Amino acid sequence: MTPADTHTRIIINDPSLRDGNHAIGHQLKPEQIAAYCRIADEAGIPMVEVGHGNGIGASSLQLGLSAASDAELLNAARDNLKRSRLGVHVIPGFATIEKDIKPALDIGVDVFRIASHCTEADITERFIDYVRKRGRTAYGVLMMSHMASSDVLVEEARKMEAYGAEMVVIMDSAGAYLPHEVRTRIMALVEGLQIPLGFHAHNNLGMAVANSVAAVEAGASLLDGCARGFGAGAGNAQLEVMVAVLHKLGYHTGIDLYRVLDLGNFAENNLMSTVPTISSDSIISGIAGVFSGFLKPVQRIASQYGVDARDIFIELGRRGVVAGQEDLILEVAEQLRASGGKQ
Amino acid sequence: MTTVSNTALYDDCARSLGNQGAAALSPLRHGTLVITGGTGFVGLWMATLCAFLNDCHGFNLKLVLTARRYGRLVTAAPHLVGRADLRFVSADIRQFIEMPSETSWIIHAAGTPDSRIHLSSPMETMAVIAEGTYRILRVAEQCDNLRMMLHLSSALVYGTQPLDMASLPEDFTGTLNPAAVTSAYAEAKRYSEALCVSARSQSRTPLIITRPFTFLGPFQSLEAPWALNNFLYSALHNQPLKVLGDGRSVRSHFYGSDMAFLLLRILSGGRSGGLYNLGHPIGTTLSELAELVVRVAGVQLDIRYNTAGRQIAASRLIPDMTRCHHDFGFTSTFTLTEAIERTLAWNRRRQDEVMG
Repeated sequence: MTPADTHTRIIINDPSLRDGNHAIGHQLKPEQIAAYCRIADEAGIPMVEVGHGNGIGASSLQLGLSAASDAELLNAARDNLKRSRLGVHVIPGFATIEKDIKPALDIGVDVFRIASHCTEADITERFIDYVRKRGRTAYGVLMMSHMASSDVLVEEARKMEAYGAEMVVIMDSAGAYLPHEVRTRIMALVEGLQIPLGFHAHNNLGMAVANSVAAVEAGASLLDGCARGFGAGAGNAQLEVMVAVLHKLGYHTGIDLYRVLDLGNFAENNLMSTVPTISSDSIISGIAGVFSGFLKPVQRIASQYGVDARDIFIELGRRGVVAGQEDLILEVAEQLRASGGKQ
Repeated sequence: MTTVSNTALYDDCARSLGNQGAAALSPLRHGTLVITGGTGFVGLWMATLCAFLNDCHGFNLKLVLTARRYGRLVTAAPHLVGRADLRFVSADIRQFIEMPSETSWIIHAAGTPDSRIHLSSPMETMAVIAEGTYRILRVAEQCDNLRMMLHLSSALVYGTQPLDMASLPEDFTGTLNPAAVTSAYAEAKRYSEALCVSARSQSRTPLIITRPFTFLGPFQSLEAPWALNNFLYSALHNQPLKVLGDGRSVRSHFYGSDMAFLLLRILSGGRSGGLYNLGHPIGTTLSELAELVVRVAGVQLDIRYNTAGRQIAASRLIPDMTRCHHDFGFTSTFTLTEAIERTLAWNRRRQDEVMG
């Protein structure tokens, strides 16, 4: 049976207003969010994710201060999403239940995507349980999933399933996957789990849409896509392209193609200063397997220290850094400068 | 000594005695029963039934509950606190060193069935079961007056129930994959069974093994990650019921007081070397179960199915209770509807108590 025969419905989550924040130093404003959500809602996007690039509660000097508080951003979205569900990204530690989850529940967030590094699912238990017990939807998210084998991903995803996650999303946070690697992992997860699976792509190697298609062909039920690819580093799977390709393949998304094309135009003209491209540094970031959100700080620090950003990425990849370890960029840059550019 | 807080529980105990009556448990009279895992679902029901037998039938049975935290007894079963016939021993089962010299009966029920803990801490899970069972068997050897020890294993030792098998008989040897991390709990329980059989052979410890299936009733946390518990929690909090998959999976649920009576019946009347399933023989699909909970709770709630966009093979976990019925003449007294009614009522009372 080919995908075109199955007419499988694919759920689309749009994290432009969260992942895109990485691309502009977390400077999205409530009025931009409100306007974007109105069009996304009309387009029939099933789920729109909003917040700081690293999720709710993450606005900080280290990770970057948001232009507005989580409450202001989420309220702007909530007021303008009638059909679409409102989602947030949650990294336990950056977010806390008291300070961040409870207010988000009060604002009316529908879906909480509780994330951990791909080998650390244990830290999500309390958060998933808390959200489920309050009647909202909780997904588990495994970030930087290219750093774990299929077997390990299945083990970690099973923990999230046991904690009550209603879906597990694996993220290609570094844009490091090739389609056959996505297929292998999703097939293993489909075999090992009872709950649905989702996939979140980045475009460092130009594979974001191809990888997303590989994911649904292997059994994923949800895909993340950002308008014009608005996201960290080289950007995410481009939402409009992904929807068009899925429709051409015979999948149903429930999204109005013309309106999602309008959404892409709106995002390009109103959310970003430049459309994400696959820069040379992004390619190195993908090859090195370093989190896409490191792109801007690496470029900035490389310039400050007079070292090659590509060398920083390669060294960060060798060290296996993950989101939240941005301070290591400085350390690596200092060492590169001291050694004349060689580690 | 019937109080407001234990009236409903004692009613359940009285009904579970059924036609057999307290006489069926008379070997327990004037004995001392030690229960490990004393603050879990099984332990608290056993203690409640024993308290009932003492209060209402003059059994003069002394009870020793062991568990790690006394606080759990206070919060979950205040009707058991301060009783002269009950002693609590705070201990990690792995460091348990001594039984009361007069111990005549042991029920080894330590070890959590919570699958979240099994997956988060598989080594700890296995250690508690393996080392705890070894420890209790060694200590049991020192009990001169021991008449029987009952070990609670798990239905999960069977692995996945074949879909063409209506129910699992005790002689089914199982389908467990030892090389999967999800097998940690079940493999440890298999090991614990082999350890018990070894102790019986080596030390002649009088011993029976039971394999518990799925239970329902007061003392069971609705936070536990099982379908029915989630449904009940949702019903009590006016939330939609979320069903994993398309609701075709089948489970059966054995009410707490029936479970407690049958355990005491096996303990006091079974022969050493016996192996028994412990559960309800009639299954219900998760879909039917969700509908039943909504109906019994008397609330209008959505039932939402979480399908994975593909057909998931429905699972089945149903015990064959023929052996128990044959050896002990036992049939469960509570219907599923009654069990759900009682469990909801108990939880509502608990909520009211907490709210003051």
